[in-house]
Amino acid sequence: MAKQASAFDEMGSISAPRTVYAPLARWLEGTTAQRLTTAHQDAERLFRRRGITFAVYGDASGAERLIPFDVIPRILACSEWERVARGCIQRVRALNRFLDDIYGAQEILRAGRIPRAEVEGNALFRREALGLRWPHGVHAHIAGIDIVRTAPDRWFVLEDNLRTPSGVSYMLENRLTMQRLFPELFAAYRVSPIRHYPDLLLATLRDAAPPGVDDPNIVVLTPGSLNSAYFEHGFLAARMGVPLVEGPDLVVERERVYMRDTTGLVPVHVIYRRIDDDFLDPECFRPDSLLGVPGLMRAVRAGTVTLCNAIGNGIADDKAMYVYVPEMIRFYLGEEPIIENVPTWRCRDREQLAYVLEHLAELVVKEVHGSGGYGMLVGPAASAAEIAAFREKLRAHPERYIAQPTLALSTCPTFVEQGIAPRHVDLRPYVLSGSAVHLVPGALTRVALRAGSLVVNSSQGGGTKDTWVVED
Amino acid sequence: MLCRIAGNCYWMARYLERAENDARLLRMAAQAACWPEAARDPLGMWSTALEVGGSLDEYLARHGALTADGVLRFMAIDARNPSSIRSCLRAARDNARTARHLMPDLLWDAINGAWIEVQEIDEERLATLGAEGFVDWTIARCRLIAGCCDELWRDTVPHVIALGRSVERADVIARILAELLPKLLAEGTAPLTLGTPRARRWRALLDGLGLSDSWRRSQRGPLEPLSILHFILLHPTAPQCLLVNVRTMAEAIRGFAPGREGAALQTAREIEARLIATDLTAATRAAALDAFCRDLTALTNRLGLEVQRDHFSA
Repeated sequence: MAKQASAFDEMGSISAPRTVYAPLARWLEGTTAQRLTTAHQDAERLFRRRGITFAVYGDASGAERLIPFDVIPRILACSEWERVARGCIQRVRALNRFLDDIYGAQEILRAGRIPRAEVEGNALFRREALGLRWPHGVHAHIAGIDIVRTAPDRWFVLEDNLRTPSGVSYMLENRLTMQRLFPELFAAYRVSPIRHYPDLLLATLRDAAPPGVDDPNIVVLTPGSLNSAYFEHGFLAARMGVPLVEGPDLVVERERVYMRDTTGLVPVHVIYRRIDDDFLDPECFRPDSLLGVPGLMRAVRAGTVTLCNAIGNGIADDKAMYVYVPEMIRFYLGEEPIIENVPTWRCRDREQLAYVLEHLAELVVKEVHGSGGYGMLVGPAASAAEIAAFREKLRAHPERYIAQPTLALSTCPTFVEQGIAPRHVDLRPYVLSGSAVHLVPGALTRVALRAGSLVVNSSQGGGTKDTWVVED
Repeated sequence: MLCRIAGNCYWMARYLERAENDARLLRMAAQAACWPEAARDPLGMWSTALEVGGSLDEYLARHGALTADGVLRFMAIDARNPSSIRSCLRAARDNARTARHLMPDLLWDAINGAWIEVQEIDEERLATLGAEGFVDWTIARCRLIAGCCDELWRDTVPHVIALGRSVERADVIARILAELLPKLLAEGTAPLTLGTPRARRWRALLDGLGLSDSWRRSQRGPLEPLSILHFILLHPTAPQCLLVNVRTMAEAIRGFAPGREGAALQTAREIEARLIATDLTAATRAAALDAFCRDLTALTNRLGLEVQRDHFSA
């Protein structure tokens, strides 16, 4: 709790706001709690009606839930955004170079910049991807970079998501909802539009077409309607005007992928897949997968179809490899990182483990292969018993964990039961890589709704906010 | 079927289609007001919406200055504005009442219910709903009515309704193009760069016609003005595009007046022939384009008059 008091608040305060928040602060002062409550209810109704729901794994009832939406926008000045955007583009360029290298010539290993054992011994390193060539050398066509802020000019990358990052539909729907609820606020700011994200995504996927295919047939591949992000899969397919398919809709014949259409078999050239590597092709990965397409990897190897994202990307967004990203930026691009990494202790290292065990009460400990906020320890918020239990886990399997200092994540004004109060936030911009690297001026802000909580994941009770990049 | 009643069903359909088209124009204006460039011209799209409906002068005469809320009220619920959505719903209901005996109860309920509900939307309620909320309400009501039409006997009435809808739709396409295209084309027909104000203005044209999403299903490549125009005018299956509606006109006339080669049917064929023969590249040169939109409006009007004369007032 002591951390929260020192956290940087992005608005400042309603009475003395930072410049970029001044119009919002004035507006908040003139807006009753009743109006915000009504708006919040309207927003929930809209989300429910549009089916913007997700399933929580492990919830036996199987009920579809709403991700809580906060009606107060987060605002970034163009100048602030510009640095974040440049930092993300730089990072994703380096990560793509790394993936292309690690499954190709492996120059970074030969140069000794990353220990070979750390890569090849990693369960997420996919030998099946060795030697595969991807158009433009792009492996992570869609990347979500999780960023946190601790001071006006201090940003850190918390984690990279290079497999099947989700949440972009919330970024887009949050904006539509805000435009409906508070058109007058848009008149007070010049908010950069983000509506063209699906167009940009479509252009990116077209860029990924196999060589010689000028007008590719593109599909979105979903595990199906029980998946937690199913709404998003259908949403993106509709906005791009491309088919939403499930594994059994596709078939591989003579090393080519087709979809079963009423008119017959129609070739497919680019698959925006929202299925994990393991389930993609039972011939190649998990033989019990019913979600995938038998023979898909043969077509990939024959170069007749492109998977977006490519397979084997887990090696680059794994928390064990995270510590090397600044080195990748230097090695491949010859640049210094624009956005820093969070200092990280790797528990597989005996000395670093000793430090972590001694400082558990101050640190955040995460599973190397974990995601979604599951299985982590937030030291300052944990009880003595929880810390003791985690200490045993660490001793038993130190290689499975990393630790980081508990950052005082920035806060933003958030409408909660007690009124308007600061809550911790993070930021996930979506970076698209085709023949060039792009992002729209906006991102998903996730907010920890419980006072003092630093965990923003929706599976752990986090909510979202519309994120505005405003012209200065 | 009586000519008089057929004529009333035709006008009912036109007014319902008009209400829906007006709603889409409101949405286009509300969304454009959130663009960053709206700071320079906050009322631009609101006045465009009025101009498409031909009611800018009337608005200015009655209210003086343009305001976003003022235009919303005027186009949505103003009883004195004969082309407000409220007035359209009233006219649709009055026309439907004369044909009530031919209608399944559900259809009449839907039409009458929309009229009753819109009267309950006063300025305060409209402010709470907001532009988008009111647009949602309007479109949902109009679509409900359209769905209830499925229960009609497959005789004259559905054809007359189809004619009314398609004539109104062709008319609004012509008027939106006439209003927006000269400005859009003044900026050239080079491919659009995503995220730029110029790309947004072209998207607004599609929004105004309710075509944004269906357009994406037909065009996968880069955004290009000419391909957008081609879609609006010539796509053969998207139900809100011009060619489909022009073809519906001829089918509908043949449907309710089989075997009669009247002037209206000839005009419908003429519009289709002109449309198919249109050289889009030439049409987008300012003068040619202007003439094309004028022709389209004039031909659609002529067809409306001919139908009235030959089929609904014999």
